[in-house]
Amino acid sequence: MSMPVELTDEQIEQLGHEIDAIREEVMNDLGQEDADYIRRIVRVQRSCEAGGRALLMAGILPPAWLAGTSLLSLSKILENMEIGHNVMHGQWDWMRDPKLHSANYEWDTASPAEEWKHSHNFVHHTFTNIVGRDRDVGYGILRMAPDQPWKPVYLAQPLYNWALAGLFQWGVALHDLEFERIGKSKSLREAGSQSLRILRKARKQVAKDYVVFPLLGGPMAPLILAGNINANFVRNLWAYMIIFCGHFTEDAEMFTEDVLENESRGHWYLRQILGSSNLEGGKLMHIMSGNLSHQIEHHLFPDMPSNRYAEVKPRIQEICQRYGIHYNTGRLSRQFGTVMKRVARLALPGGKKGSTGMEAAEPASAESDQRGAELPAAA
Amino acid sequence: MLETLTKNLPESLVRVLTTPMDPDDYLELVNPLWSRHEIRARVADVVRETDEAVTLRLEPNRNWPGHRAGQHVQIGIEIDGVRQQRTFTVSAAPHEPLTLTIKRNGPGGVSDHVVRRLEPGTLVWLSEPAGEFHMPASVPDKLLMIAGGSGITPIRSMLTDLYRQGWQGDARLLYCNQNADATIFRRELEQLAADWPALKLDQLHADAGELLTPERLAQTVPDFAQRSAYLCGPGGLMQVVEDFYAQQGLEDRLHLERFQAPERGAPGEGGRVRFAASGGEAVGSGAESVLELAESRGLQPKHGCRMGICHTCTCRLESGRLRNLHNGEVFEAQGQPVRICVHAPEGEVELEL
Repeated sequence: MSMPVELTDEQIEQLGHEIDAIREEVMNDLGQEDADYIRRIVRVQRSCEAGGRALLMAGILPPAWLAGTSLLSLSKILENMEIGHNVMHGQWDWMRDPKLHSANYEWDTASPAEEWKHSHNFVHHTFTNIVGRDRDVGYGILRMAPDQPWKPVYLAQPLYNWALAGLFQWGVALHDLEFERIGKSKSLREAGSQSLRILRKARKQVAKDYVVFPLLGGPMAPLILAGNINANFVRNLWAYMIIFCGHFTEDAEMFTEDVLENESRGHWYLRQILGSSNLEGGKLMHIMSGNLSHQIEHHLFPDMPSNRYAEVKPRIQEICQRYGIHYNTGRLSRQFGTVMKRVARLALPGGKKGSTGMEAAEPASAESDQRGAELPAAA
Repeated sequence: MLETLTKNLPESLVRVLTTPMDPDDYLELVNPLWSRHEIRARVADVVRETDEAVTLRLEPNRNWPGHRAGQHVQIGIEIDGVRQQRTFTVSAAPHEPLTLTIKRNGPGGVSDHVVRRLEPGTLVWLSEPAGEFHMPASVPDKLLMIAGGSGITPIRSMLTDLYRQGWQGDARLLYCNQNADATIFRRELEQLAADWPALKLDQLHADAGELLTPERLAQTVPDFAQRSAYLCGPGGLMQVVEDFYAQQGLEDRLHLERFQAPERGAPGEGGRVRFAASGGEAVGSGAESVLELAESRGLQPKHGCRMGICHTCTCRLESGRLRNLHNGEVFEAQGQPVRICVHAPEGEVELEL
C-alpha cells in the first residue's frame, strides 16, 4: 500500500505490535480511579445543566442570563464530547454500568445514538480518511481531499462551511442518512425508517430546548429560548472546530481505497496516525474537547477511556519519532488556521491526487521536524 | 420530596424535560439512593459473623418490594470500577432490616472483597427478590432443615419468620460446619432453640469427625420421612442428602437451593454457543469468534469493523463464559453486553441473538 512514509511491511508489523502492547497495558490497568473520573465529569455536567437552566429562569437579570447560558453551553459541550461521544465508543463498557454503556447511552444532540454509532464508530473509525469510504471526509458537502472530484459548488465552501459550523448538530444528524447512497446501496424504505428515527429524536430535542423549558419560564420565555439557542450554537461551533481539527489540518493525510487491500493491523494503525491531528493545550482544553485534542491516540484506541490518552501520548510520539512518522500536533489557533486554508485551497479545482492537496500552499510541510530519525531495523 | 414529586408527575412530562437522559440521572445528584425505578441500597453496617463471613445490613430505597423468607437477590457491587453482580440469599426475615450474609469463597472474588474490604456507606444495586425456596402458604407441621456453612442463610430467614409468626409445629435443624468458630449465627440459633420449643437444633462439626452420612441423618432424625425437608449447603453435602432421599423414594419431600455453579471445561478449548432468539447453536474450537460461529449457522448479526473497535456487534450474553481473542482473558458476565467479533465461547454459552 502506498503511504507517505518509507517503512517496510516488517517494520509496520513491528509498529503494530508496539502499539498493541501499549493498548494492552493501559486496558489492563483500568480501575476505580478511571471510574471515579467519568462519574465526576458526569456529576459536573449534570450540575451545570441543572444550574444553567435554573439561572435562565431568572434571565431578566443580565448576569443570570449570561451565567445560565454559559453553564448550559458548558454542559452540552461536556455531555456531547467527553461523555456522549466517548461512552458511545464503548470506552466505559468495562465498568458494566448500564448508564455508561455504549449499548444504552443516548446523547443530548439531534443525531440518534444508533445512527451515529454506525456512521462514526464503524464507517469513520474503520475507514478513516479514505476518500469514497470515510463519509466524514467533507461530510458529503465539502471538498477536503484532491481525490474528491471538483464541482463548481465547492467555490462557495469557504462560506457555507460556516453554516455547517453553526448548525453542526443538524449536519451530524442528516449526515447519518447518507444521501448519496439512497436509491443505490440504501433502499428508500431503509432511508425512510431512518428519517423517522432521526425526526423522532430531533422532535424531542427541539421540544425540550425550544418549547417546554421556555414555556415553563412564563414571561421569561423569550429569554430562556434565546439562552437555549445560544447554548446549542456555542456547542455547535466548538464541536465543529475540534472535529475539523481532527482530520482536516493541512498535514492530515487522505487515502484512496487501494490502501484497504490486505491492510494489516500495523498498516491500519499507521493510517490512523497519518490521518489524524492533535491539539496542544492544558487539562481544561483536553476535557472540553472530549480529549479529541488527542485525536491520534483516540484513533489508535477508540475504546480506551479518554482520560488515559494524555499518558499514552508521549509514548506514541516516541514511537513516531523512532519510525520517522510525522506526528501532527499544534495549538488550536494554528491547527484551525490550516483547516481554513485547506477549505479555501480545495474550493478551487486541482491539488495533486493521492496527497493532502496542500503541497503548493506550503512546500515545507512534507519535511516535518519530527521526521528523519533513523529507521529501526526490520523485526 | 423531590423524589416523590417526580414519581407522581406523569412520566411523559418529566421525560420531556430530561430527554434524552433519565430523570434519575438528575435525582441522584441530590441523593445517590434516589431513583424512580432502580432498587439501590446503602450498606449501613458490616457485621462480622466468623473469620470468613460477614452480614451486610442494607438500607434500600423505597423501590425494594420486600421478600419472602428463603428468597435470594442479585446484588451489584462496584469493585475496582467494575460493577460485579452476584446472587446471595437474604438472611433477614421479612420483618427485619434487610441483610445479606456472605461467606468468603476463596481469594480474589466478589465474596472476598465483601468480607475483607467492603466499607459501610457503599452504594449497591439490587434486583427484585426471586426464588422458589420458601415455605408454602400453609406451613407443614413437621419440618427438617439441613444446612451446611453459608447454606444457613435462607434457613435462618425461614426459622426467624416462623418464630415471629408464632408457629407451633415441630422443626429440626441439622447444621453442619467445620467447627464451632466457623459457624455462622451459632449463638443466635442456640438462643432461638432455647427460647422456642418448636425448634430442636443439632450441630455437626467436621473437625470432630461428625460428617452427615445417611446413617447419621436417620439416627438423629428417625422420623425424617414424615418431615418436609429443606436443604441448602455445599455440593458434597447436598449430594449425600439428595441421593439418600432418592434411594428412599422421598424426592418430593425434599426442597433444595443450590449455590454452586456448574463445572467448567479447560480454557481455550472453545465450546458450544446457543443463540437464544434464533434457536440455533454452533460449536467452536476456540479459534472462531462468536460472530463467525453465528454466521456459520446462517445468522446475520449486526456488525461493523470485525476487529473490536466499533462495538456495533455488541449483544447480550445470557449465560456462560467468553474468551477475548486478543488477550486470552476469560470472563463471565451474565446478562452483560459483549462484542461478539472478538470473543470465542468458553464452554456452554448462550447469547440473546
